[in-house]
Amino acid sequence: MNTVINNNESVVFPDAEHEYHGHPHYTRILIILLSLLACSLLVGYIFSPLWAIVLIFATAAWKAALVVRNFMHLKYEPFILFIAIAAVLLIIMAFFFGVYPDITAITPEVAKPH
Amino acid sequence: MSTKQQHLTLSENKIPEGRLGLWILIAGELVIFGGLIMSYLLHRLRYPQWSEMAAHTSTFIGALNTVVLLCSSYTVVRAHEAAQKLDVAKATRWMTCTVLGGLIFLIDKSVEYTHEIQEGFTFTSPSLQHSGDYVNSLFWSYYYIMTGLHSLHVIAGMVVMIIIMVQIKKGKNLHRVELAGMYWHMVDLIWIFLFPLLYIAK
Amino acid sequence: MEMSTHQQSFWNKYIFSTDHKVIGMQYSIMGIIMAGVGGFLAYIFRYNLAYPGQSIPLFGHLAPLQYNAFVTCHGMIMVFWVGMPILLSGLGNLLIPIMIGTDDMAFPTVNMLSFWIFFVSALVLLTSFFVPGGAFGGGWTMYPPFSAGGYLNRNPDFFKALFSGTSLMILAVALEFVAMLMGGINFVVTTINKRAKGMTAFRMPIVVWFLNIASLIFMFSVGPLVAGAFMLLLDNVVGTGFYDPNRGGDPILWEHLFWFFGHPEVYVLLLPALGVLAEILPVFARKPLFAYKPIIYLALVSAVLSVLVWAHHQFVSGIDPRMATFFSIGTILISIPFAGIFLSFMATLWGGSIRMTVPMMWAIGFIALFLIGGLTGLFLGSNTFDIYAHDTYFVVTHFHYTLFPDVFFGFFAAVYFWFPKFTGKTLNAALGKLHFWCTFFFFNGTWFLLFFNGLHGQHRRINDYSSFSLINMEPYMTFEKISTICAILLILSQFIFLYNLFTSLAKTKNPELTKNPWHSATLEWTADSPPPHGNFKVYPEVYRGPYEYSVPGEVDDCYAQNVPGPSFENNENL
Repeated sequence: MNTVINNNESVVFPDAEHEYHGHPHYTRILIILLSLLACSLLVGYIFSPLWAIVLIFATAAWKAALVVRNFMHLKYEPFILFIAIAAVLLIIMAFFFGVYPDITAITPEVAKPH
Repeated sequence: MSTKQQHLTLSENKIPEGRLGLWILIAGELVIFGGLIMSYLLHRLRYPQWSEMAAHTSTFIGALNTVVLLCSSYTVVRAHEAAQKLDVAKATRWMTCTVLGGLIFLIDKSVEYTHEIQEGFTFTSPSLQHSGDYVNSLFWSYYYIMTGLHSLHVIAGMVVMIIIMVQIKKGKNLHRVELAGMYWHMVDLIWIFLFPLLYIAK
Repeated sequence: MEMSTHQQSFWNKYIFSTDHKVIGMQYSIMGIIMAGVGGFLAYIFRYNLAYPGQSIPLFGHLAPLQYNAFVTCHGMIMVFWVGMPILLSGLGNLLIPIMIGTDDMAFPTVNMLSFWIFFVSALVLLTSFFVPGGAFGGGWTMYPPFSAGGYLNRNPDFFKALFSGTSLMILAVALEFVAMLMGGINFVVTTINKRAKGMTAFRMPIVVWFLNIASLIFMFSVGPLVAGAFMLLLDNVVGTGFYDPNRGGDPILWEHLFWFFGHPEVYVLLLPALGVLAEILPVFARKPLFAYKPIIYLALVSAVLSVLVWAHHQFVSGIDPRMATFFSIGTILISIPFAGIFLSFMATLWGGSIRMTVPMMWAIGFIALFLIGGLTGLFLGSNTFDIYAHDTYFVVTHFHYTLFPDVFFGFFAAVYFWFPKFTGKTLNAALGKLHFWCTFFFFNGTWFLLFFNGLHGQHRRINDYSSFSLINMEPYMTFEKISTICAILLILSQFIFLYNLFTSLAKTKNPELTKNPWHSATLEWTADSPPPHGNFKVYPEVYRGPYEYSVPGEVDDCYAQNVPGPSFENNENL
């Protein structure tokens, strides 16, 4: 469908991007996502709380990866963009670990309402 | 100048400008929500008592909203697929589904807020008594600010979606369907993390 | 091929313009105006410090709360409404498209919106001086509880709280961030996608690299503060308890959120100015820039380190001592890349045939003054010394020795260097030199002696020591008075610049003389001067790196980037 030629006002695609990437099987991705959601709801009844938490967040990360890779087409983008997104996550983690000793490691008393 | 000249002379790059700009915007938004989520997480780990507060959120409505958002993400990629095949009618149909999904999400959210406010869990509620102990109610402040900010993004995504639907009806800017979709996926992405943080992990 | 020759109305051409050069100049002019406001505030409280309790010429009596508000707003304005628009947005808009050889930014309309949001943010900030209660006065870092509906502007009424000085300042900062985010996206996308043919990543001028690195640092570190500012606004307006320990929150969280952005912000301001130096030094030393690629790698290293050192501003606020050690080490580590960058600037000058033009003087003055600021920064980075010197005038003097050369010397170097290109007119060199020497001398007069006051413990937030009967301030008042007189002269000497600027603008355009007055090799000098909307008649093609100077037998003693011919890439030998 490379036929749409850029011609001033009647532009449909301004760049040659329509051949830019392919399409994954979206329906299959949706089914995986929904079953992962079901899993994350069920693990709380099956495993001990600690394992449930780990599994819940593991499935959340898996779901996020599926959405980013397939729906947002990150897997068709250059690798450098993946690095940029990973850098964002690392920056947030750096913030978490820098602040952890000052907020989380301290447990003040809870004040009564006044 | 003619556009042709520009294509001859400018550097070749794989990512079109709109997508690249949007990726950077998404990265910026992720840092904003990342800061918020990390602040919440730091306090959540500080106060184990918050699990009693989290028990009052409705997992059912949260799960329903997750399904709605995942499905609306699906419909918007289908709209993008249709737009690439220059099928404006089909793309508009799929985008309407997405906007409806956003609407259902917001309705769910307001039902949920109503319940919680009726139970006394408000944005600024003071410390609450729970099985003898006082538990600070900062959980609810975080809950409202995170879901509220997310809902604002849902509204923004819907507005963008409607604007682009009007544009593609006139037969222009079909490539923007994908950009609106990417923004919508980002909203979905944030919800994927908010859902376990606020609704499941108790 | 013809450029767009259609006549634009005044409004489209100068006010709501989408041309990157006009937007860059709008940003710079807005920055100069705000610098006037910030300078006037500085004059008022500086006068009060030397002559406490006395009536101030052009202002009158200064109340203590006003003193707090003025110091706070001086800091805010100088960092966010002078440094950011001039160095990041102003230079970025003016230079990036023309230096990489393209017609305009990737998203010109977004660019225009970015400026107008910035303009509104400046108005919001200035409005906060006139609301009941006055502008916010809790320090430019806005620490809770002062900023969280706490002590200074307590007001339970929603709308009164929303239109209090505190809320307006938070709103203004938030709007400014939005404007800078839009600008930053534009910079990065333009640089990645719109470079001229042959302009590979390692043929871009250093200033383009540095502006992009600065934009990326800004965009990736500002997020937590945006979230935090939203929380602070809610604390302030509707009464949540995010930063209230009584309600389970924690004021330390704000300090972390603020400095997680606030420290990288220093490098956001520093890198563009260093980029300007990298453009100016090779031109006037007639030598290729020493270590082109290592400079870029060092800047990238500093960008990574810059998000790992933020808590060195909080050594006395009760953070974990083990983390304090970690942040100390990180802070001292980050001086390595910057020392590397400055050393390669020195090496560029080494053995060159140096021409002491006005931009060169500003550039070398920058290096000289920044050295003092950088070295005192090493002391303060170590937590053992910082605990002693924290919140004294030593700290204040340190950051003025870094930020003043950075913002003003960097800006003036850029103005004197690129003014001919972007206006088609020339500045008076003699007045420029007078301006430089006055600024250099009076800046040192204002600040150098205050290092000693700081080491003796003068606190930065006390407006009048006479309330403390046990403290004898007499020995230090001499330095205070010298500092104040020099500060007034420093402000007055900027009128030399304004005079020079306006008389030069009144001249007629001289496209021939201003085409390439410095015999520079980068692409902006190949365009007409002033460049028309669209910059180039024909898109240039690039054949080599930006710093090919001292080429024997060449007309201008240099190879311009767009002249067909061999590519020496002598930068890549390193």
